[in-house]
Amino acid sequence: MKRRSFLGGMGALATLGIPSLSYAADKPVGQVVVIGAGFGGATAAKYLRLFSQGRVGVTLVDPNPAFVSCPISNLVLEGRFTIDDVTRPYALEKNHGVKQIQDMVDSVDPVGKTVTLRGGQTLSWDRLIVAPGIDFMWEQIPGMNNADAQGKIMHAWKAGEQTVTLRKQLEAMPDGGRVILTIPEAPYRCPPGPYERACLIASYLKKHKPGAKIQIFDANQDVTSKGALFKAAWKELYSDVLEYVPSFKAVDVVADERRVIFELGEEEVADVLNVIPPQRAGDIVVETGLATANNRWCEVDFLTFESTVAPGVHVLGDAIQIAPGMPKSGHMANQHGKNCAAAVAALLLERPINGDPIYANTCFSFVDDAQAMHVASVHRYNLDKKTMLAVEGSGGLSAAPSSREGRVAISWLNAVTADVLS
Amino acid sequence: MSCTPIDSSTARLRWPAVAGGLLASALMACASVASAADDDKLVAEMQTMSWATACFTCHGAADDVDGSRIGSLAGMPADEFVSKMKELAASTRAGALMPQLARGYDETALVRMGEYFEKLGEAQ
Repeated sequence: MKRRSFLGGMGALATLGIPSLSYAADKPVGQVVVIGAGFGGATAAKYLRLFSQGRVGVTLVDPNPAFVSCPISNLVLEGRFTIDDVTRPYALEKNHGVKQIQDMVDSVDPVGKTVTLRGGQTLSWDRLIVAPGIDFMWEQIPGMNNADAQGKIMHAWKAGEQTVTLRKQLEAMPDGGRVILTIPEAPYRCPPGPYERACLIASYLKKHKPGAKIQIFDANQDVTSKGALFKAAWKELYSDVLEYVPSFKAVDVVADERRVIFELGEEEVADVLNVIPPQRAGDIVVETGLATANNRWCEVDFLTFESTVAPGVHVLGDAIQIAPGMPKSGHMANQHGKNCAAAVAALLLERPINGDPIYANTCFSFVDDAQAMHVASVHRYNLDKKTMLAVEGSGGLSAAPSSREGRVAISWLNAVTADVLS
Repeated sequence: MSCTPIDSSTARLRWPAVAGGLLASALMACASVASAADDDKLVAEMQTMSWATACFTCHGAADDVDGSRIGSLAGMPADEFVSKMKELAASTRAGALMPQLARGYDETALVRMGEYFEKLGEAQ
């Protein structure tokens, strides 16, 4: 296939002498504020500009100066990559006319249709898209419910500083040392992520920390994703390094001692303790009263991603109450973003909305520095059940991890981040 | 609702096929004069756009993505797209991941997505 200029790529626009995008001639039809510039929110912001041909004004608010991908970030713990390798710049303002503000959202007024930022600025919107990702239910691990403990025991479940610190802790541990990884009950962000992490920490220990071991204490009864594949990889690659303990729920931590306490009172002490806490939708949607499912996740209409309790407010990505078989993944959040953008553009342009969405999920997990395996699925709207369902007969897993799929996984990272950010 | 026609200057964005669903139909057909048939056509175009842009996540839009071995679908003839997807679904064409995704799409979706990718190539 012949190469073409990338539509949104700023490099391509410059080299081809295409003028910077000007929407001045287009009469605006509405203002949308997007909270959160992760896989879901940044995608929604970009595609809203594209689908409305620039007629919807979009302001994207996020505290982070650059995008750090959670997917593939476990390879930073392994040592194959640095955090810079999974960090990418935002190009949505330059390429698509998205106004991006680096700030935290302080509060949302769904009735007055405003958002107030920590910096003091107030933004008005005709429709609001909230993609806050997850926050942690620290109250379920009381010893972690303070800033001091959170500075010592890493979750590394939002890629960035936490990932870098956890890597440093691994580097600093002694030979023959012990890593403990605790996994919360599902649902949580990225179902296979903890098991991939265990593989990649084990890979690092095997190479650099003779005699060291990693123990996984899983609150779930069994591996929640790619179970047979992970267990086969553990047996083949890490039988001397990795131990998996199911049905073992962490309920407290003594941070200074790196001690973890389990449901029935058992205690374990580690050289490096990595606690992945129980999760819920991001603070801002919980505070706004949108987390209608057990005060934890946001229920939405899957045709529009509009909240079931706040007209004009759309929620997507990891923060929603998922449909059956729908994972909380970056790929899925990106698919939410496009479909939400199409619906919001249609609503603002007063056109009918798409009643038959179809989208896919793809998720790669590495088992060592080179080999990866996937799980994939296709989801389609079911009119009777009014939700997205996995299409019968579709989807599946890799037969086995391979270096070939490892290369595809890196291609995926580069492709999806281009789709989200530029 | 404004009925401003598309500004010809926006053609340089070269997203006509991508944005076509809402763009060509939605903005040209004013709400006040749009017929039920127009709405049906528009919904179909929006569905196609929604289904096809889902593929951009891995395949990129109109161009191959730097650092990715997964090629763009833009410009692939529609019949080639449909037959490849059917072969993948039937496992008569090899693939690790795509056969599993190909089995999620019916004939109607494949034909419309194929037409979309073919047009996306022409839009260059």
